[in-house]
Amino acid sequence: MFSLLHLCKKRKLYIIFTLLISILSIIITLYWNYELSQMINQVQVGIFITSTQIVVILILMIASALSQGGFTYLSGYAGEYLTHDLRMHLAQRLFTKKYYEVEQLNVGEQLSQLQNEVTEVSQYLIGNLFLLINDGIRFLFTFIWLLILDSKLAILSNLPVLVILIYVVFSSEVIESLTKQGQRKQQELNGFTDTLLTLFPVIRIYEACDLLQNRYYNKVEEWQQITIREEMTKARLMSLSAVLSCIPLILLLLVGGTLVIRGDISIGLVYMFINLSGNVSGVMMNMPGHIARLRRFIGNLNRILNEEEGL
Amino acid sequence: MEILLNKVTFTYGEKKILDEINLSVRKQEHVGILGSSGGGKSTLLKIIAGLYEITEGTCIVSGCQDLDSIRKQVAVVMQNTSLFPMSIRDNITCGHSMSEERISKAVEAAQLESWIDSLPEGIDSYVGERGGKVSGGQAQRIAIARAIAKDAPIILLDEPTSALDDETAKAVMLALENLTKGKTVVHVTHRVETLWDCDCIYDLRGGKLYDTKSKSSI
Repeated sequence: MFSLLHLCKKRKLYIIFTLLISILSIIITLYWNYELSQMINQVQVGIFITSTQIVVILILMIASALSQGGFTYLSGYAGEYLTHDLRMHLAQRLFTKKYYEVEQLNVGEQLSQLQNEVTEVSQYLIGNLFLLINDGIRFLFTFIWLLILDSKLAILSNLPVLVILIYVVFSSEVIESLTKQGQRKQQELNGFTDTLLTLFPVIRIYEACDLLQNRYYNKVEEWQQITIREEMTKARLMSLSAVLSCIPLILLLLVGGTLVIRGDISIGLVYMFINLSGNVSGVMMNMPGHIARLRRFIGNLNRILNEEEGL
Repeated sequence: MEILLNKVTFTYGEKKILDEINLSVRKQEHVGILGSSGGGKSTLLKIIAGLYEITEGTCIVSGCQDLDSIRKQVAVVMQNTSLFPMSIRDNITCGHSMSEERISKAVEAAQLESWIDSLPEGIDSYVGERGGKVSGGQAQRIAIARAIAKDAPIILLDEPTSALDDETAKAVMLALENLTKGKTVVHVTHRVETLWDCDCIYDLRGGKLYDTKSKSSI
């Protein structure tokens, strides 16, 4: 995690702006939902929707589109800058190495780092990191908003989120362990490929093709097995996570519905809770995948920044 | 003649690396080829090893002319660590079935016996990627053991001690003596002092092989 913070430090201004626009975007969404719930309540008691309300809704729609666009633009911009810094760091590290260290470098691993790890990290920085942050902000702001609106309903309907949280931690641990194994196997394979190329004359003269070919096939097979297991486990855990994330919605309908019938709360409020439940339990549902990707990213980043040896 | 090169020319792209090389090596003769970097000595060695196809001329090694057959007649020890990321045993046998006796003899002749005995997993110990778990001297001696185990009639040496310090090089030299005993040897180097046991020494400059010289003249 330290490596990520270290990387972000240089571009803190872009990151702060991205976070601010993400916060703005969620505030607009919450306000839009509030306006909708007010309109539903109005219609229920037979009051017409005013032209002012229509204008407000229109403004909110435009503001929402602009903030979404702004977030996508800024997060892409910040991600590109972070990737640039990372590539520069890697080049700088190679140039400043001692001759002895360069001689000891494994060409396969270095190429793997350039081709796979830097690409993966770049893709994550541009496409996932800010989405994860955005999800976190969405979760936090929505939950606080729901607590302000009706603390009892918010707590009751989101109580299962705690169970989901525990499950998320467990499942992400499982996925992470498999991801690490896969990365290790891939690294081994790259090193082995380097050996095949470097020692080509020796392999030919000593007729060691069969020996190396068998080992290579074994390594490819091991890597494939780990990758398949990782994907299968991910699919299994994510499906259960999706099922678990439906529980808050069911609770919301049960508890919220009862409260509406009793006249304790308005239908608009329940609508708003239902509409925003995705921001809480939906975010949780995607969390195992998010955390697994984040951990894979941190692992790659640490290796690139040379903070730890291997995995 | 064990090795016979007649007007061998080798070009790589437009560049002529070797130009009409004539070389004849008798059975069990030890020949040294002296040359500076880029002079073509490694290329010459690779031609004798059956790794490169010559552009012009004739190359006969142990009566063979096709590359596959030539490679069966030679064993090489290179300058840099040439170990596979496997066990010592795999590095010596290269995956071929070999009797324990043959492996032990190779280990002994390569001066590896006591070191291997001290290892918890013995000959099945992993040498690491690029031989990273063993020292430079041990790696070279494993490479020598591999060459001994192959029992080829021709031994090709490409500066096998140049990457080692003097002390380690001495220990490796002992192993090399055992490897080359009774064999035909072609040793390429840029250091004349390493050719002390050669019967004759050639000078390779600018892709041309010059007159045979006696060691004293050099």
